[in-house]
Amino acid sequence: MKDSIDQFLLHLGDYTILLGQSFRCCTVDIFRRQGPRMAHVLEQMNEIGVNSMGIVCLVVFFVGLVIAMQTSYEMTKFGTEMYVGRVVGLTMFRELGPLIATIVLGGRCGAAIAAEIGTMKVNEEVEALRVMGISPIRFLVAPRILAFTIMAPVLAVISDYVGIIGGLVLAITELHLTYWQFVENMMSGMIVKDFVSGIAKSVVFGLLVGSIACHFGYRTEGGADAVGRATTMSVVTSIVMIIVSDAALTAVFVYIL
Amino acid sequence: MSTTAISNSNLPVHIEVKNLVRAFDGRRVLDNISLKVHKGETMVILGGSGCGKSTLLRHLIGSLKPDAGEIWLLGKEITRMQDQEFAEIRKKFGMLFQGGALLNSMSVGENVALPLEEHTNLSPEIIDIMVKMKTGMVGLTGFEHLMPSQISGGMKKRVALARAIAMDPEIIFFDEPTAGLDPVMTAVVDLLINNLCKKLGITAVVVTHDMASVNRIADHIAMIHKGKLVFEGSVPQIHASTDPLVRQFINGEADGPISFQQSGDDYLKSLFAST
Amino acid sequence: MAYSTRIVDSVAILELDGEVDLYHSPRVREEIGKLISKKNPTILINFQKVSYIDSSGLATIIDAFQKMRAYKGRLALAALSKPVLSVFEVARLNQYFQIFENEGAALGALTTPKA
Repeated sequence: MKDSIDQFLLHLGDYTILLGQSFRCCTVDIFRRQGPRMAHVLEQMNEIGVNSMGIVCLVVFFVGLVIAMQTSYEMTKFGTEMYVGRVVGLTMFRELGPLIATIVLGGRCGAAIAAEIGTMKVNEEVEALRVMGISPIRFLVAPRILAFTIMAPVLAVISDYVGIIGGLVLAITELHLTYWQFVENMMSGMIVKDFVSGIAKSVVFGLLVGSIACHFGYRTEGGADAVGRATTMSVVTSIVMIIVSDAALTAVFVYIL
Repeated sequence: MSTTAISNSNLPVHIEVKNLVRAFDGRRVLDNISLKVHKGETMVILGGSGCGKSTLLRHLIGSLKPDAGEIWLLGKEITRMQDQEFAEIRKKFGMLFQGGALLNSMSVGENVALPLEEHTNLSPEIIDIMVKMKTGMVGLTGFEHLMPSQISGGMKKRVALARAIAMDPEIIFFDEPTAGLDPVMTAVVDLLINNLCKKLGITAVVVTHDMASVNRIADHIAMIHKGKLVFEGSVPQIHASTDPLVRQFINGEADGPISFQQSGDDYLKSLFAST
Repeated sequence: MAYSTRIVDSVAILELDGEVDLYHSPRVREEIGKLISKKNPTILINFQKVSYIDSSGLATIIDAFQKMRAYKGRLALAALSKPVLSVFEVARLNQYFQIFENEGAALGALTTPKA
């Protein structure tokens, strides 16, 4: 028990330092011309954002479809199935759009980044960078965290809409609602905060996934088994942290703001 | 233990290690090591696996900090240096890692160009010419566009060497430059080390256990055993040495002061121990 | 690092002073670039006061050579000290460039009309 607490605190310490250094690199250092290279950030944004779009859309489309099915199953008993638009819209915007998008990102890109940086660590590439006087934070870590933080909300917005389309498809084919009935019902119960709170959450999730992946990759020592462990730890920790922070942020948005 | 007069002692001292001590978990991995390397000299640090020679190298490049003692590179003490100050020294030395440590996501040319792009204001055209010069020096002209995964281990080492000399360093550190290479490629890498260092006047520190290489490249040899410096001198001197430890190492004998712990009765005991 | 340029008998002479290293090469390139942009037919670089040159310096000269070849200009080097010359020799560039003992010899050779 004591060991695992020690381990946790060590991780937390390293993680905080890594996050702090990356933050510094993306803010103060830019003015000293020591910020992350634009090309690296764009390359990562492409990998994390553009290349993940397909899988995010696929997953979230079915999530929207399932929500519509589950809710309409109960709603038809009361004859309230025309409210399915509102249910799907609200759950997507407030909750599932950002959540599903970032969880998929964590599984796809978070794992890839942890494995990539972990392998570089094991192959002495990170050490070589440092010996060449190139900060691995600036060269590897900061561009990835930044790209995650920028692309997570972008994917969340796309994810919101694709999920709603999933619900819409069900509403039209099974519940025989029209497009306008669905959309009108959805819009009538929606306020800007629903949309904004979801996007705000996705920024935090993106930051978490990116930094956790970099952290576990960066801490890798040893061989191939260590890379595997780092990858697993990265995915598990990302998902746990997304859910935990989701609960915290939802509480803030529901009860405080 | 033998110490000898150092050749070229009129040249400036590029690297000086004074009474370096480092312990891991109470075990002294480096025990009071002192060394001097003059400008343009090739110093070989020799020793068996786990003798502390790689640890010494990690201290020289500033990756590890000693428990006691000093390291002077190019006239400056580095063990107590601030990161920013050390960054300036770093630009003046290159390092060849054992596996090459090329960045696998970048091509050969991009790897060699990397330090130049990061540390200088040279224009892309100039960097391009320099990359061609450096890859030419290691005999890899025309390989610039290949990825590290597409080339052999020996070629990777040569690319890593080209990257190490990209900034025209004054010192290069080599960690087992010939480990895992066939005899011909070993000779090629040794030849390159000789050519580059002698012609360009670069100071070199080579960590190795390969005696064939030592004979070809060393100006000066320091042998380490169990964290202690046990021999210092030139190639003829190490061959003339009567120290049994040195003799065993250069002749590659299993019997001698460097003992291989033959499992005795304890081995049988462990087999037949009642659980 | 200091520079001076002058024209003697239609030969543009660039005199360098100091060390041509990673940090000063961009300035040298700029200076040569000025001469090249005027399409000077012959450029002579005087190394009299250059104590050190590294591969970025060599690359700068190679770059100038390539650009001058485009308009059939001539690039010559003069008064290389021993350490500087050896850097050219290691890169085997001494075979490629016209290298003269001193400025006088260079001017003599460069101003006589080609046969």
